[in-house]
Amino acid sequence: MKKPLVMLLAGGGGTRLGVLVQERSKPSVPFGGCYRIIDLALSNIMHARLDWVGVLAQYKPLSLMTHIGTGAPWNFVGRSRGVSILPPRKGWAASDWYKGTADAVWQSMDFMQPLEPERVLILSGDHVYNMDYRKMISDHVDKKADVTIAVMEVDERDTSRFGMIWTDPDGLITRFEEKPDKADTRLASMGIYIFEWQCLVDALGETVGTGKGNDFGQHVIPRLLGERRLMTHRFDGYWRDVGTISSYFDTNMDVIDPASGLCIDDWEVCTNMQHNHPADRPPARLGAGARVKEARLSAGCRVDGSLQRVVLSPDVTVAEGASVTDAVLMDGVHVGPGAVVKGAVVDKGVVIGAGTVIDGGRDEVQNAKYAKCDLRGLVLIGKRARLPGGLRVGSNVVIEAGADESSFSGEVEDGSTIGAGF
Amino acid sequence: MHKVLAMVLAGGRVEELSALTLPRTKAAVPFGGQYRLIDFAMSSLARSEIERVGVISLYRPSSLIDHVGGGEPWDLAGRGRGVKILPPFQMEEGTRWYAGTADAVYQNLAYVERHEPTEVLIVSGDHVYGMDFRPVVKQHRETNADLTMVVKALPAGSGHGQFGFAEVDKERRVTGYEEKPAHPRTNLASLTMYLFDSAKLFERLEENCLTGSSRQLYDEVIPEMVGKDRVFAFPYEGYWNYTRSIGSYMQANLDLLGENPSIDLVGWNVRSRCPHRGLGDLPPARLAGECSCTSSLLGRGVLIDGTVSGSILSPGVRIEAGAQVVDSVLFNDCLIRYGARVERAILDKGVCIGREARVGGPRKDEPGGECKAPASDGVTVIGKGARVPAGTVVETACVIYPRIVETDWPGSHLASGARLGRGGQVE
Repeated sequence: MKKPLVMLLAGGGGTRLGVLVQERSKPSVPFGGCYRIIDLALSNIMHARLDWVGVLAQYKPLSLMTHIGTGAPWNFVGRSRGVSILPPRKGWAASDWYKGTADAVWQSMDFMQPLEPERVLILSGDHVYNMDYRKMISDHVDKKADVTIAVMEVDERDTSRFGMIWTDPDGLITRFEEKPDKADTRLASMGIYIFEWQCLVDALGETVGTGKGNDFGQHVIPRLLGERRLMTHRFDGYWRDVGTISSYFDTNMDVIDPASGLCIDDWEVCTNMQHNHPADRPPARLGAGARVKEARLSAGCRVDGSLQRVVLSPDVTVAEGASVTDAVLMDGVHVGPGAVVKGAVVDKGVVIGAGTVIDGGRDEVQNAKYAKCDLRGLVLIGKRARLPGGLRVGSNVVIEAGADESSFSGEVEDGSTIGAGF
Repeated sequence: MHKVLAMVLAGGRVEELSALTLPRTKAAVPFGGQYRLIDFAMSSLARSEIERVGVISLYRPSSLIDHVGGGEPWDLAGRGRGVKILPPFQMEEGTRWYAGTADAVYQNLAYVERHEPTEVLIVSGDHVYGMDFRPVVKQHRETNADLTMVVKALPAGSGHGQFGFAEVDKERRVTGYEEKPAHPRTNLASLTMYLFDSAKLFERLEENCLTGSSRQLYDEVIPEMVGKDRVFAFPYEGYWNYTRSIGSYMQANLDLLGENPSIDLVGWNVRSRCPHRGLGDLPPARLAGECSCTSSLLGRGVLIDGTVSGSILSPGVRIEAGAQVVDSVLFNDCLIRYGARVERAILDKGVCIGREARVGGPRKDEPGGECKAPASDGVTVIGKGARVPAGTVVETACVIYPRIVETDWPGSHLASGARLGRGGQVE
């Protein structure tokens, strides 16, 4: 049996991550201190010993391309292995931006066909989980399925966020509904599919090829129901779609506490240590006055203040007398002396001036511009923003990338947004 | 075109580092949480844009070979660049090891000549410093020197019997040189960093091959050249530690700590090879809810549930709840079990300290402290993979050999200065 070819969907803009995706796609958003979200999927692929991977990238792919590079960190370099980034491209037959997940795969026939796959494993690059795809693959083969969809149980109130699945007692899928308001099933699709090659070619031809739809969940899967053998594969482990700022924050907090089920210490997640050179950073340094509890500290960090429930990416500095709680601080963030940061997600290179207070955590006044990010009281600060000293910032505030001292005039009230130009 | 080739001397064991150099050559001894000693020489060369490097190996080179690899961390991989490990080899006329540093370079002259350098820089691979060699090369060329040696002014009265001392005139010309004198005439110590004119080096090594006995650069070739060639000194004023004893190795590690550490890892651009355990990259260090950690360095994958102060924890170290680690250096993957206490100790890779065990103790001049082995400065050293049984007391200045396991222990108390050798022999 040939190993399945992997098509990794990494095109998503992920607009609900607000300013975190101002300059990068969702899969390349930093995660858990030293990783990017896509590292989880890439590491799963590596651990399953799959050899060929196509990465479908469309939205601001530069950071993603640098990060994946040759694929060496995930063992994708070799005579019979490889990873290819597949951006949208013009050709005489098909020439357009990817219009959806199925369209992206359909447009990548030129990548897939020469590899002569027997099966294709289709994954999302923006989920946090640890899954052995080999079990799903053997399930798929044993049950002689045309398509296998990975499913997990979700709460009743969450059915409107997922593609919901009904099965017969043998696991054969009998019904599929995309994001129903109410459903008498608890099985949700995880967006992980194995297709028999010919079934994939036919299904895409009948949907994308004839202009009847471009999305796996909305068009391709419903089209196949009743005609092909669609099976489920149950997954019971930790799985998160870090779709919004609050879920991104919660998932990062889960990295601190292994009891959450996110056991990053055991998952053997690989990342590109050359990207932005975390490999060349010295070990994290704690000063004499440091007070640190429930935290993750990456290489190059320097902490003299106090931290609790905080994830630090490489090169973060927290000065003396500063206090940071319930926060995710990305690479190179500087928290000045005496500053207080509470309830915040702070992108790379942000400088927080001395004595500034970021008072996140109160979900009272909503942020109208970033309502779909589900801030839940968190303060979101974009790349390289510079916050002056002595500033006070309320909850549900978004400070966009590149804002500087001149962007601020006095206290930033709950729910407001600061743009770079002011 | 002018081109400098570097030879890094990384062959010696250096017995003074006791259990740390049983499994590996001194240049490959771990340092500062994620480095090995040779990283300082390699990073200094990289910073000086020296792109062709030979590394001379002799004693147990396995760690060194893995670590240096293709030289990628120091940007030595590529066209016109490269690093090569140079082990001893058999010859038609028979088999012998490198007799001394001069012999080691001499036996590899073919490697040096092939790259046609104008100058050859010979440095030690086991010193801690951060140096830009470009000013040395500049001075060397301006003075038309045959040899430029890097010297450092030591505090008056120190280093007697340890270093070579140079007498230097006001043009920086070396007029006299003594190796390890009991009463040096100057305070300018040679840091064993030598920049040679290639042709002159070849000539002097040929002579040394015929007439030398110790075959060491420092006590034959260098003193000889001071008498008859143009030898100049280049003064170095920065940090330098040759970690020649357990005490000075420990001190160099502690020099990474404090408000403004005297070892500037970032400023010197010290690079290392990123270690792996299994397939994954280690996650950021995790500090738990009830832990305390101050004045310390933490590597990747460190897990702390206990109390840590003034210490260096290498990647993968785990400190269980109720355990204490004070003023110590822990290499990769050490495990300190519940309630154990480690103070002023160096634990090699994979050491396990059992529950409620006590290892090491305070410095001699502090109340309760005592020390029988002055070179160790009272520091206890535990060899690679050794296991200290639960409840055991190991006092100051002890040495535990690698891979000693629970069943090897003769008792539950090891007195200050004792050595626990293979098979549980107490020396």
